[in-house]
Amino acid sequence: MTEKTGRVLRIEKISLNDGPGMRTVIFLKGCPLRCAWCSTPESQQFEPEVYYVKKKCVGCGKCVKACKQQALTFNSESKTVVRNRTRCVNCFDCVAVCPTCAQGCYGKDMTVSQVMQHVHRDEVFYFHSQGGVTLSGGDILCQPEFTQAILQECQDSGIHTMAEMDMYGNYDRIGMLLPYLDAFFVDIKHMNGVEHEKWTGKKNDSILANIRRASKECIKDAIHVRVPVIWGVNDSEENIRETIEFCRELSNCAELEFLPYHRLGRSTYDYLDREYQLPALPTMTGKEIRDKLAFLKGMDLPFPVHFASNGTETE
Amino acid sequence: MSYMERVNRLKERVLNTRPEMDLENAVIATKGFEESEGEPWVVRKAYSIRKQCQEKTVKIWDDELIVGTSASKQRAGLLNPDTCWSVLDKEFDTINERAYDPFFLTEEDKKRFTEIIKPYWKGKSTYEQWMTQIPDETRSLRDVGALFVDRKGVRGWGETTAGYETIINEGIEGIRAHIKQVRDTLDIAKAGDYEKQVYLRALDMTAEGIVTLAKRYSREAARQAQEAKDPKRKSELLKMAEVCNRVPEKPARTFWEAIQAMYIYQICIFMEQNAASYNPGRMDQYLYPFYKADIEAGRITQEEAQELLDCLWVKFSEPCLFQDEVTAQFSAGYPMFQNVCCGGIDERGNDAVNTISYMMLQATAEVQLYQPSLSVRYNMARNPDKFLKKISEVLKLGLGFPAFHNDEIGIQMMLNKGIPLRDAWNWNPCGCVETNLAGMQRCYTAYADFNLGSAVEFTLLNGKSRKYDKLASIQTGNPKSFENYEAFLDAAKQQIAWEIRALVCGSHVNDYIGLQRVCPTLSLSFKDCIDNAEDYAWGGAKYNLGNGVDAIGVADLINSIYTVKKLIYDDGKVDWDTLLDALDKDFEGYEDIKRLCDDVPKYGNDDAEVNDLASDLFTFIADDIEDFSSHFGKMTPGILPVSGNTPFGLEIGALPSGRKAFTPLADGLSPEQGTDIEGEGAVIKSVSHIPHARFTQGTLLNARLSSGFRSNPRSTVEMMNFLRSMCTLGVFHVQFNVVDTETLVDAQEHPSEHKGLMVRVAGYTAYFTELGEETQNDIISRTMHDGLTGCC
Repeated sequence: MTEKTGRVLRIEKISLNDGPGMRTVIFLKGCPLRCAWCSTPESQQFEPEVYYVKKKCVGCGKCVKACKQQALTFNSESKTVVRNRTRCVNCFDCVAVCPTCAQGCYGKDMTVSQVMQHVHRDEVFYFHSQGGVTLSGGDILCQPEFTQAILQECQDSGIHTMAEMDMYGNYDRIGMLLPYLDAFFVDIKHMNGVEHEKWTGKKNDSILANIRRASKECIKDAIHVRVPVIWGVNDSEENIRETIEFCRELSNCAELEFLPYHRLGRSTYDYLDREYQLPALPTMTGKEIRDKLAFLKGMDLPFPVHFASNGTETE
Repeated sequence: MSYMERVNRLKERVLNTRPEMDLENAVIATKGFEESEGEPWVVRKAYSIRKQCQEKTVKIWDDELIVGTSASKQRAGLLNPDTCWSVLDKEFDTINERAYDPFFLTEEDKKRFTEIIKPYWKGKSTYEQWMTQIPDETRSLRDVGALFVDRKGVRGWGETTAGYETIINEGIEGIRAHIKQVRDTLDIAKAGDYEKQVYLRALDMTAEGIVTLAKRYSREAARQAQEAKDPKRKSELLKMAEVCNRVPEKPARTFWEAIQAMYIYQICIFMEQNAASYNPGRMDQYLYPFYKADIEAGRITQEEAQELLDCLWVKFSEPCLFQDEVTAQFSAGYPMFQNVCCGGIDERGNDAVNTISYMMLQATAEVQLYQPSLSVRYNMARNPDKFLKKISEVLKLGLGFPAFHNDEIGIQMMLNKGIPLRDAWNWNPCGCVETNLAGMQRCYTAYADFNLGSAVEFTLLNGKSRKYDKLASIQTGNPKSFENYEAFLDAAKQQIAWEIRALVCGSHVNDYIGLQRVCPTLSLSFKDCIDNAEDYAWGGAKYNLGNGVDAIGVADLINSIYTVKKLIYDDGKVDWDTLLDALDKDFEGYEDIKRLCDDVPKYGNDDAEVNDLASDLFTFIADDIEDFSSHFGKMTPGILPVSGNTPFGLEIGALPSGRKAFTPLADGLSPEQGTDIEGEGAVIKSVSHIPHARFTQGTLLNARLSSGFRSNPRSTVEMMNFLRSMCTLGVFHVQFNVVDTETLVDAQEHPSEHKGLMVRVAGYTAYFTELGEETQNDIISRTMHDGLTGCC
């Protein structure tokens, strides 16, 4: 039997933001949603994608010469390589010749054991911090067999496992992962189906139904609900209250965490020649999100509520 | 805290005082040597020290509680004419303006130098002897920047931990009784006893000098008290007069007396020999009994004790190391390296953390000056979590302190030097990261450095230096003639071994000249020096070791060797002609070759094959160094670059690692600038493959964290876990800079607005704005990790 291969965007070491302790976070490529605020647009498409970072470019013109599709031209005024994305076939010849890595590729194929090599290297950090592995995306449900194999390997080594899931689509893929997960994150982006479709491109009915079902079938207190709070999209008191009521009915909801809007992925859109979908909104500070959700105070909830930080202030 | 007003005033005065040369001591010393002509050399040295103690200007500044300066000025560089008068002669007209560590030299001092110092010392200093006697093979490599061996010509001993505890607990009185006791056993009819008698006379002379100086401070305090209008200050001065009248002559009875006794002795040993790294060592151990007794007797509050400790911390920031302009490049920032240590275990192997351990961390957090160098010995099995938490909190302040040392590895290093466990448990960090033992160990812990980048270059150019275009090393063959990778690796090892050999030759000459570099004041607190009536310089200490030999360019070596292996031998992507040509042209027109070099996995990213090569190379280096011995013992390896990676880098051309010509080498154990892309975890995993405990003079790792990391609510806890992981992996040392790039760049452009900005250079902290531009750029270019996280 040949080993399972998956498409990985990147592997992050000693992450402090995706579960307890120090964690290795494996980001997979491919996602069915197209959230307008997405901070990792390079994870959306399943196929590997070429990107270009102007700051690193020295204007040597090697990529222009190497391109068989004639998709690249050099704009001598702005000293920039311009890519015609309709001509580009993502062959990555330009990436191979670029001396400064200004041309690069998002996404690479890795085997389960290649991924696990990275995981095993950081065991000493899991040990001291009670950390482990988190699988993230994109949406890992686009590659359920690969994900399952990694989680199983982790479990075989006694490594704590978590995953971040969009919960969109057919439940079976979620069911096959639950036995291998110590805990998992689910995102609730909007409670209103129409609004959800408007901002993410997909309806939310399967998402909500899958979360409900998973909450019954998972181990105790395994679900961590996250809500990205975006100016003018889902930050109304009504929507937040609905979200809370939804969580209240879940069994095994360990916490509810609000993530304030940030623009850290903004430049990646430029690298990919894509338009950022939202207007110029400011980063939401920790204080702003706490003020905005001040009405939560005094609510009697069966789980704790947390606010993530954007690192914009000392908290 | 109410006392912070005083501490801040003291601190402001130090920050606003420009470092000056101060030749008062040199003039007195010269007269002392003149007056004592005909006496044995060591007596003349002792006489000149006592004379300085009797005659030097004694000043007490406003607000001070702890007093004493070696010189007459507050931030002064001292010249020991018997060691290196000629350095100042050479830089007479440039020292005011030089790029690294300028000193202001007044017209008056210039006159005294020309009329008194120079005529007396011409041709007599140890530095001149060194310059004459340096062996040919050492000179040849030194001149092309493959070695840096002149440091000890310029500096005195330093790199030692005096027996402060003896000074505090027994007093000079007790030590003089010990001297007398030994002297009473001598009979000059017996061969060898005359020399001993002479030596003990010298010891007693310096002992007398120290007491005299303290009494002069006492009188000055009493005088100022008489004039003081403010009753609070008056009573402080009276107290200071009482303290200095008592100590260090007699044993200390209180916390205040213990601190003052320690500091008077500190300025005397610095006066004796201008040198870096006189390390106060385990202060929490020797100060705690006094603190405890004072608290129990109700003589002091914790706050008052903290104030005294803070005042001492400010004093440590006053003196400035004088060295020549080249040595200053290798250790920039007037670095005094007065390493104070807390934590670790006691003589029974139990937890040694006490209240003073926390108060030392607190003093550093409050005072925020570049000295003392605060180190912690963290013993994972014994020290409490609370201690680790306090360490992590202070680390996060971004002061570059404390330097974190893994206690178990420090103990292993001591054992590996041949020091038995009963003493090894009492080790303390010295200077940067060297291992030391108070009042017992003698050697130069960081005698000289060898350039691993040069070794690579010699291998590629068959013994030639690219920059100087001349043959400087042995010829190991044209690389094209190497049959395989093993032959190439062997040639590289031969080049490294040749550099080490040349350093050892230099070290022997230095040891020989050093027999004249006597230091009776320092030897006073080494019990065995009195018992044996033998100076520290001659090997009188309990443990005598071969000098420390330091490797610089760790990552450059590993990456260059590995790149050649991959590109030429494993994958055949490049041939020797192309690679050599590309390096010769500094990759100009060879961008594709540079890209290939850059793409080879680099040290610092936890790559198994690279890790394995690192272990192999550094086991070889440790073996090779330890195969040499001096009169005093086995030579001792270390990896502590200070700031030497910058001037060394400026001496060598492009390297196969992808490093451009004439740019700094990687510092300490750190990965090459910008090549560690997988985060701090991968860095310490990689670093753990260097055999740390074999490098008994310590290994140094610099890490930099973004200021954003501090705002993560889990950063303290995860910092603790990170440090525990590091200990588990057997990494010896780490220090963190927590500062963002924008601040550093801004400080470069507007230095006056960032006067107090401190950065960890390598093993020590300096004011960023006082560093030379290349060193500043080097610090800015160190990869900054967003927290501890990394990506691949």
